[in-house]
Amino acid sequence: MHGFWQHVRMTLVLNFRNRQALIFGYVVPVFFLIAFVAIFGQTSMAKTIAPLVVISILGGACFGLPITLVNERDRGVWRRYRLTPLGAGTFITSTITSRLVLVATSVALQIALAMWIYGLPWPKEPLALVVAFLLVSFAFIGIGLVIAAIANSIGAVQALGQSLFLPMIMIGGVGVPIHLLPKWAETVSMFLPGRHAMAMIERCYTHDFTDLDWQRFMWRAAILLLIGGSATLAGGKLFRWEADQRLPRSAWFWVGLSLATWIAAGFLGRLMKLA
Amino acid sequence: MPAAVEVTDLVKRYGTVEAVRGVSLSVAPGEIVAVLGPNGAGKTSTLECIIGLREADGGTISVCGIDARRDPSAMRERIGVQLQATSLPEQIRVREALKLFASFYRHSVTPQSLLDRFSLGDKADATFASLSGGQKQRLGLALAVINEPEVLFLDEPTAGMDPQARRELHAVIRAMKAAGRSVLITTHYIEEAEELCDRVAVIDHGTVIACDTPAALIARSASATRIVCTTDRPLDRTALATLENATAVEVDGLVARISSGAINHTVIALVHHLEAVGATLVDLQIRKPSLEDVFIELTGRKLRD
Repeated sequence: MHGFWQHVRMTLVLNFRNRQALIFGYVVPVFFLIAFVAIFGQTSMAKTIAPLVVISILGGACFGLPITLVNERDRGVWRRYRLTPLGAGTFITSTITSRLVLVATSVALQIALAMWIYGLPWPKEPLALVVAFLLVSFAFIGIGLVIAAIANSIGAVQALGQSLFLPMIMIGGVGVPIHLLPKWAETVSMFLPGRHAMAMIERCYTHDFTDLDWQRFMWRAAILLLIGGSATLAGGKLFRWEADQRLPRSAWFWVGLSLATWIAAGFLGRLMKLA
Repeated sequence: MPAAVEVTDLVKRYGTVEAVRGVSLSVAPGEIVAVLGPNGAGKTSTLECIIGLREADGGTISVCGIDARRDPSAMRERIGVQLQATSLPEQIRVREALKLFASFYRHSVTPQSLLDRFSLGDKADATFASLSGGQKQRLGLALAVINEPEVLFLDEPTAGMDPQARRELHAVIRAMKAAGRSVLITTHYIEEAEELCDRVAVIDHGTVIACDTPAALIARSASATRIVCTTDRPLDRTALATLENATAVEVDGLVARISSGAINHTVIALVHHLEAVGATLVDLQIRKPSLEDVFIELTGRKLRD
């Protein structure tokens, strides 16, 4: 356990020494906050904050995490770690933990500034918000691990990340409100984790939960757990210590399994009439 | 007492290329063994299979009595490794790296003791990116011994090393031996193997073609002792070939190399010959066959080919 915590601590320290990571992790989310308020105004901050939180988690998990992992793998850092008694599971868990801390601090800064400057109200369901944040982070960090495992370069990380990020922004209800989307896009959005993430976080701010809200919250929680769990499993199975380590033949299965949970989530969302 | 390292019939393939073809070797406790071979001979692949960086396609590997293929984590608790190049996060500081790696092991020495031992004290707060190549190598070596390993694996450790780092490495290797620990070292520096190692395994085309003490390998050499003499004027090759017990002669300008089956007789005959032809002796050396001669005999290649 000592090694695990030391690695978590060191990952965090190194992140705070990296100017680019600080800009993308903390400055850009604040810039997004200012931009969103400039576009959507201050009147409905409770609704405005949800996409900002989701974008911050998405950015940290699907770009920040895999870029760091692939960069260190390319430089041979993970090859050196591999020679220690700690297994891949320990390093993956410590990486997830440190990324969760980084995303949490980034989101906390965003929310604190929104409350202080723009009068963002206290969430109606604060505990549910914490749970929602953890589940959304878990799901997206899992996806980030899969990206890191299959991407052979930083460029590939950016390509894969964008191919997930943009659909979630455009038709996943993150950047464009669901009610503004055409019917087909609304249907497709149910299959994207971004929509469930958005809905969970937004409702924690805007609704005093009724029984039906709690029920829907639990279903969405299950969906994100499923997506995060399968992605983390796939990311762990396909984890590569070295740049020249080839993906196993089972890679298609694990990536397929990970994506299959998105499809299952979509059908489950429709079945349970999750708005 | 079980061998510190016991490798039997190790096989490693990369696609259709068989890089390691049935390598068997052992390292006894307290023994230093060099795996010597030209580039591409399979020595790094062999070492990487043993330490678990590559998955072997066949054979058995036992390190400190542990089945390395089955339980690599338990093995790594008891070994130290220095790769050809050590890579760490660029912004990590030397002291932090030592502290981090120390935390990975159940037993470790203090970072401060390693800073002192490897002359890294004044670089303790320097980032990895700011270290020179030699300092990085020294840090790599410090990380390799941080858990006081029972077996130390070194892959081409002195390639690109500065003299200070090389001296420290040699001191570490000798200290390991003195403490009854073992070292397996891959190298293509023949002098290093000859100077430091108890035994040398010569590997070529993925197989061990000889394994013995440097002295025994040299004794097995078919190469004769050579007289290398430098004179003030060129000598006649045909005349030198008639010297008593001379078996082969090469003349290159003012330098003549004479192989001999009975060195005393040939030297005396040479001196008489020089007097007869009026040549002045500028330099005279007797050269015994070296490990390099043995290597060339065994592989038909020079080490750095």
